[in-house]
Amino acid sequence: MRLNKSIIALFLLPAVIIYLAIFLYPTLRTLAMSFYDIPALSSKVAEWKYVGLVNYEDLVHSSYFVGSMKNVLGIWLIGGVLIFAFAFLYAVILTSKVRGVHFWRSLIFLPNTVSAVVLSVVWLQYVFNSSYGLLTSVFNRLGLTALANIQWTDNEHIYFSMIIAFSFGSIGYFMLILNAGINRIPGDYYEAATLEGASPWTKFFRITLPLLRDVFRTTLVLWTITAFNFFVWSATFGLDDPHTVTPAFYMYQKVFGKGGNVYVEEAFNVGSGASVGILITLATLIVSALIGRLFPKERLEY
Amino acid sequence: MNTGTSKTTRGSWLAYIPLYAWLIFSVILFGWVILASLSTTREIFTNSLLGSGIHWSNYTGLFKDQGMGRYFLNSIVYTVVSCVGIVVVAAPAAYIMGRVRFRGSRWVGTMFMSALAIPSILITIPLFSIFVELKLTGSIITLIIVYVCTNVPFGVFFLTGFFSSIPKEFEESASMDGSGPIKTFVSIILPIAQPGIITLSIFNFLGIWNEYFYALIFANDPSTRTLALSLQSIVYGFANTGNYGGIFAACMIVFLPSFIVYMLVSKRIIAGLTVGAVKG
Repeated sequence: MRLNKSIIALFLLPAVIIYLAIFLYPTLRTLAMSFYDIPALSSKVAEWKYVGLVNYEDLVHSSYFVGSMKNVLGIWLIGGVLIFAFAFLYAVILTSKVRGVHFWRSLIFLPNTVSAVVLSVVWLQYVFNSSYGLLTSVFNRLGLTALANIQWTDNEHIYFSMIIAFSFGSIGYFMLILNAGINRIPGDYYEAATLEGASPWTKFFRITLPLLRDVFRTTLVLWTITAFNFFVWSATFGLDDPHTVTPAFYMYQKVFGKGGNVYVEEAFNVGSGASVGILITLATLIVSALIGRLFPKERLEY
Repeated sequence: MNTGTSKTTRGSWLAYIPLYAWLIFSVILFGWVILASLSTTREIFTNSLLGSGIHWSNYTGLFKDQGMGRYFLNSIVYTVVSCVGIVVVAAPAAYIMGRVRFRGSRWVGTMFMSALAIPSILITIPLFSIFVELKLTGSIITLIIVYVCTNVPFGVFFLTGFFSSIPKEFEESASMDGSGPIKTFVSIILPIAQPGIITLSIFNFLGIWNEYFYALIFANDPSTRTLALSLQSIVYGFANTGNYGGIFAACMIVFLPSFIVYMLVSKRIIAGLTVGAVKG
């Protein structure tokens, strides 16, 4: 269709300007800031002091930051295994002729639509509560006092408790994508395989899994982006507990935190916060590229 | 649909176990919270929920003493204004992207796609500095601008497909009737694309209602706070004073609006989500 240039510009410009102002410019500015020592968020460019890679070196030598990186890798790995195991289980079940598929799909996706603050409070104050909580009551009733006495939110357990609670809220989304991916595989393949006498297991491993490769790649990349930017649950569930701090939350504490926490003595500047953002982005890009290598684009079209 | 995992009779019975496990867990979780939100703290701790009848005071107290009505209103303003703003900016751009071939259109498309991959953590520090310079911090408008701007790329991406599937005849007959491009867009194209715009707005509603990160950074003071943020500070205060009934009532106030929306439109949400994700 033809439209004159001024109309195209009028329709397109607001979105383009927003992109330039809100995405491109801040990204480049963050990249620049990561090489400077910047005393405060409101500092003018004239007050910035060029320090090269010093911000990055300091981060690598900060035990608190390294700890936060270990935390985020654990979330990526443990949470990833938990979420994908359950998401795949439910995705397969929901394509196996159960009744009420729409109801079950909506139910499993429901936690994804609930505010992280609400989910955190419900898990912290009910499921994991040590006096009237769900786990404690169930284990007590079963006579498993050792399990009933576990303090799910103490120093030792809060990290794993957080991963479990977070995963519960994320399974639904990945289940939906995997489910749609399985549904997209043409039925003829299975019919042909059945005629050849293939068992359900053979069909699952020889047809379903290989044809899901593209979907696996997409979901793994999505999960990597989510996990590496893990922030909200450190704030709502971990509540500043150092055992749950991730790089993104570390950056928040340092740059935007109102002070008053234990780690403030560590010399810190806004430029260093910017380098945290750059590191997270780089890590996401690298891991996504590796995932692309592991699951190369399917040449087979169907 | 047939998937090859077709089960024997025994298999299909087994398939319901994980489903019912999820159902039971969800019912216990949300059922218990509803009952606890209407009980006293003592009843919660002694496992005798609703022992002395229903206590609506947990809810009324939140509005009377904690100013939750204010935060509720804030969240409604943030959500509604942002949802409208996103469509106003994204729909015309998506219309061009989906229907008009012009020089550089691929480049612009890549640009919007790249924005989807930029993490919010990367843009926050400069954004905050910009708002400080514009003296916009501490105002409701700040967070609305942030929500509109950060959601426009996804809006363009999502709506482009809807616009490109509309037959060209609509514009052709409109221009023969002498209608200008802007009028054609507003009075003919937008109504046809309505299903896509509604689905997009539902996503945006749920996303913004529950949003946490930007709210924490750009609207973290008592007059501009969102409902979800206020929940956190209320819970913190109530845990110290021991008002556990109030904690769960506050959860319900944040949970219910998004739950009601979800109940009404879950089919649409799920269809919209899977269309984009699998193609990607």
